Amino acid sequence: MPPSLPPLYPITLQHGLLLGAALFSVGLAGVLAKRNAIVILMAVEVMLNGVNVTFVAFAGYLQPPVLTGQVFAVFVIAVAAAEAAVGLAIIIAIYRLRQTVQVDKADELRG
Amino acid sequence: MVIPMELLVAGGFYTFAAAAIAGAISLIIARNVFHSALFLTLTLASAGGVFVILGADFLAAVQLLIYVGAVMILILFGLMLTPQDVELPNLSTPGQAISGAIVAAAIFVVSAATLLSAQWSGTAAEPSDVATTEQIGVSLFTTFVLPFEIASVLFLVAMIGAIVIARER
Repeated sequence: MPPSLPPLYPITLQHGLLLGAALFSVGLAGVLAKRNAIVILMAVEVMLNGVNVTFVAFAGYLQPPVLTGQVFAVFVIAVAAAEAAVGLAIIIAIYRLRQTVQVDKADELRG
Repeated sequence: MVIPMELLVAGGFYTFAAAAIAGAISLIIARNVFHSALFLTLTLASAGGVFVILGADFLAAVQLLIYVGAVMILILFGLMLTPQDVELPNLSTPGQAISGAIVAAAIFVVSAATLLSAQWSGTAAEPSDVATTEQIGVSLFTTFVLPFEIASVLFLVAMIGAIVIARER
């Protein structure tokens, strides 16, 4: 055991998983409840971060140590960055068309 | 006086976790979109602190560089390019807001109950504290070389797509 850590590490796997679940749920509430498209995009980023916290928690506590979870988190961050770029481009295109970013104002496709 | 490591780790984790969740909740509640963006910065930076405590030093740096650095700037640009003339209420109709909160709370309760009752075999009592950068780099170029290449193609597609979609016609 490395000397820097005490024998009873106060933070367990469950702490990390709970934080991930909490961030995911709060982000989901934001996605469902907000009407500004940019805020919805931000809430999606919070959800992705909750997933990342879960990945990192599993990667840290796995025995023997495997870093697959952290590599997955790297890919999640990469895809999230791409998603933010394309999402904001779409929002700007919608704004050019309608002068608004409220999602309930862009409803031409409803049946 | 030497602060015990145990206290430092626990205090750091709870502080960062509380800041992350508080920032996320304030992001939803805030009426001003710009305030939401600032609260998102708080949440993302705090998640980076949690990464440090969970033994992911490289990911904490990536989190600060990519999210707090790049994605936040992108979102602020999006805010600046879409000025709002009328200040509409930012939340949806009360019915939709309440049902959204109920769905999110239900998902949290179910997942929390599941992960607290499950027996996690094959896990240690504490995270490993070896430097991760080298191992992540090696596995990116050996085990995960195909996803790595696909991610670079995805970036190319996203770049071209963002330019084509957002360009003035």
